[in-house]
Amino acid sequence: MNLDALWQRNRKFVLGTLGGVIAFFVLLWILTTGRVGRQEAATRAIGKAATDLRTAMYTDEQERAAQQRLATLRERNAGHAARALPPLRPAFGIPAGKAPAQHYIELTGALRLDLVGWALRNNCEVDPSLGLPPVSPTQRQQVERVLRGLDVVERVVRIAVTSGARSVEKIAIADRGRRAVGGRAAQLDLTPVQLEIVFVGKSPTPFLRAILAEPEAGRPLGLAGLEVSPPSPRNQERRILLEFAVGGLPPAAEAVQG
Amino acid sequence: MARGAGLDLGRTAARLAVVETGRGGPRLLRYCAADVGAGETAAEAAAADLSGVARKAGRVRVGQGGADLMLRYLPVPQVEDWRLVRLMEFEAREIASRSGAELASSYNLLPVPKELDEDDTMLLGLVREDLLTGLAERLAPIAVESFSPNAIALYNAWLVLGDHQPKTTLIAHFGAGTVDLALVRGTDLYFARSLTTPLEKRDATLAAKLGTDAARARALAHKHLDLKAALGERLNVDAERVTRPVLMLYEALPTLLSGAVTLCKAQARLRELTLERVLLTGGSSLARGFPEMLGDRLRVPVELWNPSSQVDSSALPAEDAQRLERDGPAATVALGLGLSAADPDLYALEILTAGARRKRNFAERGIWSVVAGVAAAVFLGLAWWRHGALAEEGESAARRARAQFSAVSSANARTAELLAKIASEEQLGRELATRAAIGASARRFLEFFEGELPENLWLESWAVSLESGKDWGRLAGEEVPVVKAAGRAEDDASVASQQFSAFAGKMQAVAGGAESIRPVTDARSKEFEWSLKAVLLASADAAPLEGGAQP
Repeated sequence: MNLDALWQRNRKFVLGTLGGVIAFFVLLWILTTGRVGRQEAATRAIGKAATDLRTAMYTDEQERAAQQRLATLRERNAGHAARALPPLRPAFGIPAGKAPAQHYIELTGALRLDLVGWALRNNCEVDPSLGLPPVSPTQRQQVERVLRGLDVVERVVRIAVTSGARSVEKIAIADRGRRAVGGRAAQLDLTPVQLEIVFVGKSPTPFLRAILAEPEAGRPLGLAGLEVSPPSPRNQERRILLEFAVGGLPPAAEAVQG
Repeated sequence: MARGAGLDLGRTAARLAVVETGRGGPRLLRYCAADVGAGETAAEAAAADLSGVARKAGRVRVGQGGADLMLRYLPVPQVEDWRLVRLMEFEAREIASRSGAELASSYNLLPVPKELDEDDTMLLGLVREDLLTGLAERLAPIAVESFSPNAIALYNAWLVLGDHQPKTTLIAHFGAGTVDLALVRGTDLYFARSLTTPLEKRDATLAAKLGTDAARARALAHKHLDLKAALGERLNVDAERVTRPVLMLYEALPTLLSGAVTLCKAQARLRELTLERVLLTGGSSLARGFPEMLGDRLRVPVELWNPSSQVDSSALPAEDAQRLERDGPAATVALGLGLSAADPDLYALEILTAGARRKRNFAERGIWSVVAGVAAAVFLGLAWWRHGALAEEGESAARRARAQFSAVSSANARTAELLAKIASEEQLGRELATRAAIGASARRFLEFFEGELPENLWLESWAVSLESGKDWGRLAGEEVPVVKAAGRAEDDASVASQQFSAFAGKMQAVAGGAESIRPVTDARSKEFEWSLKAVLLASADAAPLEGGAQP
């Protein structure tokens, strides 16, 4: 076979066919490249979704179990809160539409006069500061914190006076916030409140019983510590150091339970 | 089975032959003829009378002869076909440029033996384009397939219907004004040519001599012409009157034929060529005494050849068969054209106008390019559509997969958020339980001491506070309410010690184990002193999540 003769005889056909084939594949590439790209992108997306789905995921069943567990925990915590956290009496809350600072001044002034005077009339001397900070708080959050502490102070003072305490000293309402528990941030934002109750010639046991019976009556005081010192050999004075942690549930838990 | 139609446009009649070739040999399907009237051309007569049959037959191959056709013989070297094609295209262009007119051409190698050299002989047929175009237009509505020299049709008729004797035979088809010549030997073609003859003036000459018209003169010639007069025979009065005026026209024919043989020797380079036989055919060959006269002048055997009697005409309608019988040798060229069109293996010299050539090229090759283009376009369209559909499907599946993943991921995120809340609630629960446990521990301690402490053991001080649970076997970071108490005894130390041990034992039972009570006694001093540390209550109640929400 003479290639030259073959070429000369079929040159037009070969060139035309070659051109046609090239044009065909160019057109095919132009027409399909975008769509093939879309196919490949879709395949990649499907593969990625499949890979992602193979990774560890919680199932719907686990989600339902978690919801149930959370509801149980919240219910249980509500019970704990009722036994552990002192309720805020309405008189110590900030009324709607009233400035917190103004309410604070009015309430603490009236309570100081009322409580200290009443105690004195019952032969009990009460720290006139009632543990209030020397500078009145102005921010709503600080006011609420101090008033919660004052609520507990008022209740303890009245129990102490009723139980025959000689004096209530060293009352302190801290303005500290949340504290750590075992190195971790605590969920509860509690305000420490301290009082020292002094009994002279009288047993502090009724007072202690009354204090410890409060949670049973549904009015917990938030007792955080208790220390009954030995009687003084000089004057038979007994000092009881009480420490309370006052506060409410965190806002999220409160909203759920409220 | 192949079918072809040939149309011979003679001076006095147009003849159409439709031929079918097959295993049983060629078969004549139709044969029609249209006589050319006064003032009419053969093409017009064919268009008027033969178009019905021609249209049924399909495309028709039309014969060309006379002065309009130029046949040239060219020595060409033995080269590859493609070089030969270039050579002939160049030659045709050269001739066309010299003639100053567009020429339609065709060429084919002439199968002649080589004597002088090794060159081949190429037969080139040329006709003016405008003539062919005009002829095709006049033939409408007959569709012209191509034009072919009558001499080639004669040769093909010889190939199919001739006796193929190994003699140098001149086949001469005499028409009313032309003669188509094919010089053959066996099945080889040596020479082909179309020439005008003096016979074109016969009818006019006779009419002038007899004082009549051409048609009448032609009828008289058919009836009374007898060329034996040229051999010295005496004729009757009528024959004398018709023959003598035109005899000189016939006398020129032997010279014409021998001249053609001489021309063949020169053009086909066959110097040793010797004419051995002449076969007469065509309408004018039927003149009485014509073969004898030619035989006498040429000194070779001259015979009348009538191929129409040899072709299978069994399929012809009766009318066609009658016309074929009447025409006899006049139908030879029409038969040859029909055979040429029907059988592609016969010798071919098809002359096409440029337009017809383009159409044929398109029908034979261009159509396939168009089909291939359409197929490619359809394929591209389908590929475009299919890839689009696949892309749509893929994207739809991807959207579903993403939605599924999004739903699962969302549920996963919600669960993770719930688990975080659970952890917070558990810690909150522990803190609250611890806070509640302080008061409960103190109250329980007080109740226990009031009820169980022996009378001679005194409680002097006590305290409740939160301490690290690590010291009490609890988890690190957990706080437990620890009760610390201290006191003394009034009795002697040994009794007090026993009583305190009993008391501590009771307390252990209440507290839930020896690990919860740590009593300490000091009997060294005068008075018995004791102290203890106890965890009286469990701390936070924090059971793990049931079912364990682990991914």
